[in-house]
Amino acid sequence: MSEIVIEVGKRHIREINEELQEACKTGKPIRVVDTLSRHNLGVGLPDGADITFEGSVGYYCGGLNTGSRLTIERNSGWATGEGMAKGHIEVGGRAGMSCGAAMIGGTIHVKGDAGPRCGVAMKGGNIVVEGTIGYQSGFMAHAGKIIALGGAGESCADALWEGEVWVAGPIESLGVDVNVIEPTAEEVAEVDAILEPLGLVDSSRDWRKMVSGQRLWYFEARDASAWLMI
Amino acid sequence: MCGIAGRILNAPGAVGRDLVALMAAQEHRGADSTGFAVYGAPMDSGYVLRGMGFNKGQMDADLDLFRATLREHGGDFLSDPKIISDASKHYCFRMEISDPTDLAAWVSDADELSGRIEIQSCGRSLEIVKDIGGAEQVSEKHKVHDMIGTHGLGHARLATESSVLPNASHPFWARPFSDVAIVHNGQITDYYTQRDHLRRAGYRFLTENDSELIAVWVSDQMKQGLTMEQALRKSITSIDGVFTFMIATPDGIGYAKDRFAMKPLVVIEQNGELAAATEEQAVRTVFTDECDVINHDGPSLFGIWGVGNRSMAA
Amino acid sequence: MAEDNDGGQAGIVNGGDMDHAKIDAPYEYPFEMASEDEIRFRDAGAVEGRPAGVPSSYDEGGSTRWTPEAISEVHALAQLGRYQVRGYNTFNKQLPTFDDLTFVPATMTRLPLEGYREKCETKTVLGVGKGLVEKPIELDIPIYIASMSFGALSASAKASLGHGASKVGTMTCTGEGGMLEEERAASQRLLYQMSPARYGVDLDHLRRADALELVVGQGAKPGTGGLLLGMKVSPRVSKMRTLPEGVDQRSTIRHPDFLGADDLAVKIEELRIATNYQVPIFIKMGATRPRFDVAVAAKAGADVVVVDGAEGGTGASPELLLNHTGIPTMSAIRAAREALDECGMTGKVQLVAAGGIRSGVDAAKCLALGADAVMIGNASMIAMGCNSPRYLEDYAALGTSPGACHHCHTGRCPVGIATQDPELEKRMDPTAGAERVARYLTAMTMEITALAKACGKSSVHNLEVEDLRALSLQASAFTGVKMAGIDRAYDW
Repeated sequence: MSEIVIEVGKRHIREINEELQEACKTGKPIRVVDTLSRHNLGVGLPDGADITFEGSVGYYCGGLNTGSRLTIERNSGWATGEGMAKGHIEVGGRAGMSCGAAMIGGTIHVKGDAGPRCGVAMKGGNIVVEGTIGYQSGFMAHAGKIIALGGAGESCADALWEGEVWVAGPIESLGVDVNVIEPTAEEVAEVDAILEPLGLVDSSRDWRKMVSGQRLWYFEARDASAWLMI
Repeated sequence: MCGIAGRILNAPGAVGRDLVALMAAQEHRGADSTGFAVYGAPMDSGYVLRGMGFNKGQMDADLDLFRATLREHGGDFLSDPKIISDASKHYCFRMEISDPTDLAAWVSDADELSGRIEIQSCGRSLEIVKDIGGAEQVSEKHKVHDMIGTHGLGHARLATESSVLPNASHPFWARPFSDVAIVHNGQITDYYTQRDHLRRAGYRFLTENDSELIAVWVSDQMKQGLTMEQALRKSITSIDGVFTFMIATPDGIGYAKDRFAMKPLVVIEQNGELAAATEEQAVRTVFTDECDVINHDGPSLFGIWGVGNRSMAA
Repeated sequence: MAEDNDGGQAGIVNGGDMDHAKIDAPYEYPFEMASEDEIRFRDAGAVEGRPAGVPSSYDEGGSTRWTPEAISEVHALAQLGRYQVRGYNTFNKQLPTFDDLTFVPATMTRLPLEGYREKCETKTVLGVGKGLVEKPIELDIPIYIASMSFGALSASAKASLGHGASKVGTMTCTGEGGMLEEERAASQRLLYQMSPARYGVDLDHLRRADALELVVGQGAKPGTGGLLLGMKVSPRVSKMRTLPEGVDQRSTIRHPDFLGADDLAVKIEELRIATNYQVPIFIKMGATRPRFDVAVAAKAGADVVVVDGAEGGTGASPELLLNHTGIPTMSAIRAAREALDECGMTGKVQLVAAGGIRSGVDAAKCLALGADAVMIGNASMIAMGCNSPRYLEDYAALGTSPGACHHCHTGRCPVGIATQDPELEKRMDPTAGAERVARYLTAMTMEITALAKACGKSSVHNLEVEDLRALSLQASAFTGVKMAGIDRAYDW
């Protein structure tokens, strides 16, 4: 099947996105070239499209995605896939700050590192980072899994809700109100099921699973020390 | 609230052109004003001054007074000042002067005229150009595009808590330290207290802009004996609020970031040449092949990029 | 000289003849000392150690620092080990009220319009100024319903607000709790709020909204995220917000995907693309430094800026923030308008004011001070029946009474508005609630037009600062409105 090529360059971002939306309707694979790290490429994409971004993209690429498959060959800027509900985003290089912010479903797969606040306020779906996740990753994640194969920066898994942060490498420091737990075999199997289609299963990993300590969930001063740590 | 940029070349070249491109790509981050700091070929003696006067109508009188103050301090204009002006009430100038006996003492006296005429940079090689408008507009007016040098800084400003006057724009000169300039993205939340301390120590601030503080703060720390690296490290725990700043001297550019990882800094470095900016799309206007970028987006980071083989450790 | 004494009072010796030696001696009454009972008004009930007729310092306390309220606050903090939380709005007595301003209608120099006959335009268009938006918001009246979440309010209260607002041709706002289907169905125009916590935000909801609002703070508690105590995190609220049931939800205050107005410019472009440039984008903020904040929001690309003064209400907030943060609505409007004027955004960006607006009169004053429209929250709840004198035993159980209730945070709303309890929710008939909201908005609009016409205006949007005078030095100083009579603003 022939592919549709969309040139970014210095053109107006509205025009590019309108072309992209039209191209999605054809069902053909789409290749976006000369991306120049421009912002807001591929925002609000429909279900079922397959788009490759040749080169690096700027902020909010794949934001509010509702089911398309995006391949970003190199780096992505801030908040890649923010608010996305469904679909798959692959970042070949490094993802910037707030990758997958407030996402509610789908998968983001980052082959390099992810910047600070990876998965901040996420409400579902999975983020898999082959490298490390940055400062304060998982901050107030409501649901979903953030899986870092390389390690994590400072303040990891800060103030979680029911989201989970899985790290198979060194962690610089933990955020507030985190419980680090030994995952059960079933839980590891669940994570492996997410990694399997990405070809990333490795049984030798030493996982640490981080969940909320739940001490900040209630405003009652049952334990004053919990409140003094924030 | 801004976009910032830095550029380093291995040999004197079109640093002005590159900085304009870096800033034009970030204009959406703030189009109130744009500014540039360029380090050109250093003078053996004497200083190049950039500045502005607030009222074109009394330009001659103000420049005469400014010159008289300089003469009282043993210096003089080396040639007629070059005046840059358009329809607006203010005008800008570039001039070369011979060394005053004591630079800080002269600046202090010259600043008595700062309500009428204001020095915006003073250095053997530093020249700061800043004005109202976007990158291309400021470049067109001040011919930034043609400025040659080894390195420099750029800034696009979205005015937050101070006015949109050209003199409140970045970069800021670390008054009265020659050849030191700064650009800053963020807001300092203990600015009033810190500025007050430095004022009591004898420094003068000409704007209500929090970024002017950082330039003087870092220079003052170095005057007290810290190295640039030590001063940058100390700034992270001594200054509160949100910041990514770059500070330049004739030897290179240093940067520091706050404890909360709020403001980004993206860098491409190739064969000793470097471009740094708030956004990746800006550095890609200078390095157009898909080369690797370094994201300094973590908390509490600082570092120094030297020019050529010069060291900034001293 | 013996007859000299005749003019003196009986029993008291005239001292005129005394020599100096006698003056230096201790004075003795030339009569018998009165009894202690007489001196101390014992007949008026004085007791040992306590003078009669001096109630203030003994019975009522006199300390200006340790008032009964201050003492009870210490007792509360000492027992709870945390700050207090409550709903409603500020109790700070130092805030001015709109009653400190009065209108000066047309008299001799100007001609009024006929209040009962001539037309006064009330149509209000938001998001039209920049020509960027395909579908600006057109309201028939300059008032809309403020952002109050499903969670803070019951689903039927949200639907009532929607129906009531639709009937009079105006808009409601989702608040931060996500888009409630009942509210979407009831509201002809719905403003969809994206709070930093992004509860329930998805593309479908964004595209079903008539306008988007990025909230960066609220008047009741600027600088702090939303708060919803566990009593109100019902199964449905929990599902919409992806939160565990029954937890105390404390929302983030910083947005997850932009950190500052410079990044906001990029975020706004994203939202425009996501909604295909159809709908206006609002930015709502608590009033703190509106002189700068509003200019920054306008320059970052907002179509409408909403400034919520310190008098703004809330479903729950730390009490200290309700009482001790933010600036008054009246001063915020003036600062915001000046900011828009100065950066050339007046006409391009609309200004909406909120916070403590109780009537059409207050709303008219906001318009005169410089707002393009106003937003009402607490007032619309009160119109539905908040604080109405029904179910008195339930007020009593909360330790309060109709007219004084501020217990939205408990979820035990006696009249079924600020609750998620299905039994309590039944107490507000949603059809009657809708009609009360519609009538209240109609009455408010009549009040505004009555004042506008008295001032000789054929449009409510032509009310201006010159139509007002200040009745207090403070109000004049806060707003720059001229003092009554002297016709000069308080001048520093």
